[in-house]
Amino acid sequence: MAEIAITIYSNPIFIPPLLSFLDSFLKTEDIEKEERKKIAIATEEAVTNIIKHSYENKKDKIIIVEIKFNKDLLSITLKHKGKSFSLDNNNIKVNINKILKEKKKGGFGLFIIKNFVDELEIGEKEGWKFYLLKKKLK
Amino acid sequence: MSNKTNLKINKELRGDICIIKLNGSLNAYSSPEFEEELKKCINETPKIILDLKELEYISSIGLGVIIGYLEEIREKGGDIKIYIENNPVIKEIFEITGFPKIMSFFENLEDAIQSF
Repeated sequence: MAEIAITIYSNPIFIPPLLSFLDSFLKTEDIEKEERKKIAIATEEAVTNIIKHSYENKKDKIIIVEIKFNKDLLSITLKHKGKSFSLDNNNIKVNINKILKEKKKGGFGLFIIKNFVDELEIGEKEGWKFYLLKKKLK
Repeated sequence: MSNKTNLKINKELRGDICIIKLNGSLNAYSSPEFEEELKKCINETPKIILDLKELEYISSIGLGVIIGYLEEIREKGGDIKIYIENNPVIKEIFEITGFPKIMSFFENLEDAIQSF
């Protein structure tokens, strides 16, 4: 089992170094490039959601990213102290025509996460809100 | 070329078509820079091709910038077309979010140019 954690501020400037760190970790586990990309994209969407919706774009808050790899299961937990974000797993859909018509600029994030990992859980535990992303690999 | 963020942006005018080539990551950090370049292009011409062959990552915020200007550009008589070749993960993101229902995708840049 491999396990590592990193703490970042809720500032988009820290997303690229976080993803580089994640990519380096996954390389050591021999995860293929295309899979690493999907994991990075899903992680970035979760971080962006936390910054935008939970911390309301405040840049000085804390996000803890815990990465665990056990046998063939990768778990990425993103912990924060911002606002709760509810998830209806059965209602994550994208209506592209509606988004275009209403000139919206969002609504894709959770949908992308759901498609690029096997499990997505959003919840609260021991005083921390969290996103838990799980993906079976190899 | 711009390289303030982790995104490199190259713009090229071919006749009345603006080709924006993106290399790197189009994410929450770099999307404001992309949006600025897209707006400059729109001021020159509403016919735009996004060359995403070398794009490594695109986030929902990057998708939002593209779709956010699509109607405005079409109202001016233009369009945004996507050129993407040998880039399966990026193409998958567009496909799962339904973009091929509302935009044209090309695997050859010349075909994208000829489509205008």
